[in-house]
Amino acid sequence: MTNSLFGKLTSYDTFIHRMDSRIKMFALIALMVCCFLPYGRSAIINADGIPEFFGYYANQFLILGFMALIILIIMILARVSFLSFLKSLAGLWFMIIFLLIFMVFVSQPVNPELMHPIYEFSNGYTIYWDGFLQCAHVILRIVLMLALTLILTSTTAPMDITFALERYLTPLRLIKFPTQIISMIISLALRFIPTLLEYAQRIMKAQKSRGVDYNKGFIRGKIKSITTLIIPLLVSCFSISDDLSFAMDARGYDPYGKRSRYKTLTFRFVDGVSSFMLILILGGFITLCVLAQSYQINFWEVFGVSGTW
Amino acid sequence: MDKNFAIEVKNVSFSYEQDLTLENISFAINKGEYVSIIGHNGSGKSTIAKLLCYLIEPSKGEIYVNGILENDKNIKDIRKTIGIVFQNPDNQFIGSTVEDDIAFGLENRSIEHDKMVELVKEYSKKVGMERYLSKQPSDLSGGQKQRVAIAGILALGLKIIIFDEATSMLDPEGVEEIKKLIFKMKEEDKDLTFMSITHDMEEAYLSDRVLIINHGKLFKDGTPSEVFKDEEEIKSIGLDIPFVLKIKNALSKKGIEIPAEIKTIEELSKFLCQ
Amino acid sequence: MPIKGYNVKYIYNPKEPARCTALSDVSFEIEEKDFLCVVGKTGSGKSTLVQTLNALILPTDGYVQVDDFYVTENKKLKKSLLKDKSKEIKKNNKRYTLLRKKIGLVFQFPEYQLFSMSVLDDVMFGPINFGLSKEEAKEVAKKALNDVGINESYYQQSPFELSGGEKRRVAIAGILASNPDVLVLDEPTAGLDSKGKEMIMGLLNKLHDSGKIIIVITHDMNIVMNYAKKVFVMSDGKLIKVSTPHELFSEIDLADLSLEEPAFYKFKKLLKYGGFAGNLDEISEFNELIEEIYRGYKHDK
Repeated sequence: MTNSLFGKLTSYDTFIHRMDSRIKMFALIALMVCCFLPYGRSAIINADGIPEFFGYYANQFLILGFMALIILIIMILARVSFLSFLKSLAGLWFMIIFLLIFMVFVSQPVNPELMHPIYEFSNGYTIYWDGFLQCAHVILRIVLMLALTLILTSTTAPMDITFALERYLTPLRLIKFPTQIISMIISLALRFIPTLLEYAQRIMKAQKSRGVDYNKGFIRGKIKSITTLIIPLLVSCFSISDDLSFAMDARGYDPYGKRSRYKTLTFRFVDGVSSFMLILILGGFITLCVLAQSYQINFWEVFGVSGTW
Repeated sequence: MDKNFAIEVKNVSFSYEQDLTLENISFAINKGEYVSIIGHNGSGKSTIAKLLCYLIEPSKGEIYVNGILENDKNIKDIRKTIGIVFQNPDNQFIGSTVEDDIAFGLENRSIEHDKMVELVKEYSKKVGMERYLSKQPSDLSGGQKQRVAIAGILALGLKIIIFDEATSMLDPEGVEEIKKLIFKMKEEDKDLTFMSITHDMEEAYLSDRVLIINHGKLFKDGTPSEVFKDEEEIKSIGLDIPFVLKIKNALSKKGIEIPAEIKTIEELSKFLCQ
Repeated sequence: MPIKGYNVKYIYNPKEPARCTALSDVSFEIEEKDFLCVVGKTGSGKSTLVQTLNALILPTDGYVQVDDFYVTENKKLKKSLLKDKSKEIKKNNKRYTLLRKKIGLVFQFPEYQLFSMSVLDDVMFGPINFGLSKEEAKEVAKKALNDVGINESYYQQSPFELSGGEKRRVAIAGILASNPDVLVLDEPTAGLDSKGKEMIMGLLNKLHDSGKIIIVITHDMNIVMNYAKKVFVMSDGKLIKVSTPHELFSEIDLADLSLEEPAFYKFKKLLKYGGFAGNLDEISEFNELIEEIYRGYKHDK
């Protein structure tokens, strides 16, 4: 249960595992941004005066498909198991149902004349094909984002993630934001995730020995069995933080004091190459976005596919 | 406030939520001494450890380390004098890797990077962890984590080290590692003062001096032979006496006197086999 | 209720390069009225082994049999084992709740599993899960608390306000209340002083006398020496020796296994190798040892 939540660091040693965590972090954000850039054209009315059904989404799905391909290649390179990816998607069904209900059955369009109705109820309430399309589109984006996050967490030690995070937070110091304290908090939190996971596992096993079945029961049973895990876990957390604060105090930690740094990162050749590629990719997608927006280009035409949808 | 004492505790009491955990305790530890504090669970002995490091404040009385009075003003100087290794190896491991953890105290003192790298190298070697520098805590055994904690203290150049049941959560292998390391450190630097709060009576028997705490009061203070003299009395406060001493006492009842300097079963068997 | 293990194997992360074999082909038998200690250094597979007994860990291959329960992850094997069995047995083998009622497992530092508002509620939790009514659960909980030496004045207190030793006893009562036939404990005396150790071990001894099988994982060889009837020695995921404590301490060199011998046996060995005049081999009591040393020493003089 816990593994699928965070995505566990795998023990392979691929070049993506070795990559500088700051670049990986930047790549994650950059590629996520790429997923969210608009590539579509505005709606197109064809000769019959009917708006093209696939108009906006034609470009969008093409580019996102291309993105999926890139991510898939990275996944293979990073040896992220496809099975673990599917498992992490398992938690998504609730969201899919919610989105479907919301987009297809609840929301009504601003410009109904541009939409493609499926069924109109007697009170004027209409269900549109476009709702399904929109829903698929959002889900695709989420899936891609999940894949990206999974790649990061399964190739990067939590410590390295914090380190990168801290580096990116540094400029905030200019506005008196306590980055040192925040990064200490994050790094301690991440440092103790494995410990807490171990505790959680032990507590769960102990409660199973007392007859708790974590898979059984709906809502009421679940809540009851979760409390048997959460309360002991909280108690352990408090005892850890007690010990930890004494240990930090004894070793002279002062949150507002000046501290030197032991860890420094060196930039290697491989990091240079990967950042260059990353910039290319990011630039490419931004160009695509601009092209689509300002020139209304249908990317399918590049492949010789045209016509109405 | 004698400068020759490493630690001086004067009429200290400590109460926690109206419960008096420690009552009017006084003792002084010489520089270079190895002192054990024993007592049953909940006797208040761990509270003493925290008081000595000024992690908590005494309700009454005064504590001096190296002649420095413990108060808020002197806290920086206290941190430069006394260090502590706690019971739970995992919960005091602050850094993400061995080297980060050893460097934590150094970072707090704003020591420059190159010097830190040097110190981390030197002291990780001293505790035999030089090959594990980039390892994470989850890859280490309890004994190894405690060694890292010790390295962190030594790297800061602290001369007084308190062990607050530092071996009680370790497996026998880990206990052995730490015991060996303590004796090695003692050998190498005669100025180091150790204070070990422990359940291990055999360890207490080997130290220079033993303090027994019972129900928050100082019950006994003296050399191991003096302190453990009365077997019945020790048992009555819920403690055990060391195995060697049990044999020595039993034999002395039968008229075989064993010299006081014999403190381990190895020495005892050698004596008997002569 | 005998427990048998047949070629039990367990592998962590079987599909990754960092996979690790925690148990390799362990076969064992635990008999009625055993007081068993499992020893071995950290990472030798002790904890994994005992967790297969109540199906918290399913063996990758091989199986553990407890009465009509067959614990294994190997689906083919399980199918063939259950082939001619009745419908009820097949049903019980799908969920292991009933097995867990029979085999109570107390984890290391059990004081960290308490969660209820009152001591009594916490101890009642297990029995209620196993299907007892509130009234019945209250009765068995009171009895279990009485067994571990927690008296009535504690019943309505919050378990979080108790001392460490008391918490541990309440947690043990939480397992005991389900009246398991087998009680398994992982390092029950860790972090306790000698009085606390004696209290817990005395309790286990009493439970053993009342007919339960007791299994204790421990590093403390004095416990093995004073209480165990049988010892399993684990090393690198294998069960390398099954013996009595006396046999174990007299015959095997425990230093090879990174285990600490009890001072008593270590002393005997030192005397023997030092050439002490006297026959120490058969001695297993402190007083006998003193007598023999006295005799040998006088004889020498």
